[in-house]
Amino acid sequence: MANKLSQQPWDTLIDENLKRVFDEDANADLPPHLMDLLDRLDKIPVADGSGSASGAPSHSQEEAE
Amino acid sequence: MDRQGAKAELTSHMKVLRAFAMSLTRNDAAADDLVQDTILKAWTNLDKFQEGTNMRAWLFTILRNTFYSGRRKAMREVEDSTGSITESISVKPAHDGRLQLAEFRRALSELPAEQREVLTLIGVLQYSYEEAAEVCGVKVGTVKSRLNRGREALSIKMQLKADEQLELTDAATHAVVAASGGTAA
Repeated sequence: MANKLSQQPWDTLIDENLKRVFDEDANADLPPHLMDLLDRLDKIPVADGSGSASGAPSHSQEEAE
Repeated sequence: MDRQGAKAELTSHMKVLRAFAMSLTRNDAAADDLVQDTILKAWTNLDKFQEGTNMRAWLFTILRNTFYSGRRKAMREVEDSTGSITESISVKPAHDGRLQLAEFRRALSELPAEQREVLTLIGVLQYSYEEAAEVCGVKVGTVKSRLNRGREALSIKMQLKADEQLELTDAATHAVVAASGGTAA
């Protein structure tokens, strides 16, 4: 129990640092080639409902590891 | 979902998607490539997305599937994905006993990607265990285990640094006391 209690401040500090790292990454400007990609999306054909591209799950998919 | 609506929503998730990619890769160029692949796969498979459901979670799933698929293709990595506490403790002490952000980043990068992923989903994005399990395609117990191992590894690094800082402080105190002719017990 004492160990669990003493662990909690570290968990809080870890989560705070995780958030700071993530926020820093999320607030960074996107590189130009990713912005260009968004601009080009309209020219890329969308699937017609058949086929299955690798890594694109149906929304309910659960991948077994 | 109409394409313009989908594009707008995709665009709105781009920065968080890239931050999630960074949490997996810890490398700018690799994260950019991963986001690009994810966006292309999502766009060309929009028919698989159920309108009204969580697009961010769908994108995260595509991104992580792409990441792990690429990693498998890139042969075995040296990285220990079983969660052993890292062998390398090479972080400089922070002045206030905390790991500075750059140092924390380095400590984080030493964890297996599977642990960073769960730490990010739950510790940062406030996913429930069940939601994280769905995104990661694993059982809830696996999510909890990865979370605990990741936190434990980071906590050990941070405590070691704090202890190191205390030792440095003690040594400095002893030196000052000794220099002033006093005795340090």
